[in-house]
Amino acid sequence: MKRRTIVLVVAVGTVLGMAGCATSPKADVDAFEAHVLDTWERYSEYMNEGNVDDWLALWHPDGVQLPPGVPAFEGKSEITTSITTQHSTSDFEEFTIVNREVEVQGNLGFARGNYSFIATPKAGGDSASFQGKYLTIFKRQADGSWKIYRDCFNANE
Amino acid sequence: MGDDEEAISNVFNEYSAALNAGDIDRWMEIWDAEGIQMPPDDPAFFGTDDIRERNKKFVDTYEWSMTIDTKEIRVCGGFAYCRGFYTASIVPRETGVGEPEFIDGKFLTVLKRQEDGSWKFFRDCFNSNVSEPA
Repeated sequence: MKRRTIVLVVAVGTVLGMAGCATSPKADVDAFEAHVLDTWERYSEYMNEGNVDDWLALWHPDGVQLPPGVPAFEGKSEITTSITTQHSTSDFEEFTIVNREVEVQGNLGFARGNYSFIATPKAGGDSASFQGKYLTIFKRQADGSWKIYRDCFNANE
Repeated sequence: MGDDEEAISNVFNEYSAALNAGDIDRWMEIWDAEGIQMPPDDPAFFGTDDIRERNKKFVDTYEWSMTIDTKEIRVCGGFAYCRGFYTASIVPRETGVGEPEFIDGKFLTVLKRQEDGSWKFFRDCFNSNVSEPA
């Protein structure tokens, strides 16, 4: 399979502070991990289906995606443009995420792991397989759900 | 800027200062003992021995001039989440001449508060803002 670089999916003014943390409820790491694993299962499913709308719903409105090869996409609008372009040009198969670690405190938590997928250009051409790793920050919402807040990833080779 | 945020900002300043000084021992001081570095185009490096081995060759091979721009710092209990940008130029130490190679990237880093109240790199993922040539 021919390997090629593909942009898949992830500011001005420093943001500082304890936002969403100091007054937050006690974090439950098991509950957080369950949310993370559910998010990754749906993330993979929606990528394989080309389901942009439901994939975008996994993101926080102020989410920032940090994919390799391009500057960061800041906010839902930029992320929407990116993922829509990806799905208009490529089909994704076998998107798999293996989560390796979670930590949570207050309304913020992080997850680390590995991903793999196969992408095939819609215009024709060879499929390409990708393996990489990610570091993702999740933020708890008012309804108790967790959304992808910051997401950095890169290839393993 | 609070005390924690200032301390964390200084960790990033030390990251670039140690790299620019070519001092791997000094640079390793920013890392938690159980740190994991997640650089592009390599698998993750687990723990300070692996991180040192991987990065020593870059410090020994190149003269670095790096700047880090920290755009976001969020402290949450014993962890802090940071995001920002970096630029660097590198020149081979062996020759000390030639066109420098420029690096332009971004990072997402988790720092962990140490028992003495200091902050160290716990997880660090970064990548380039520029795509590789086809």
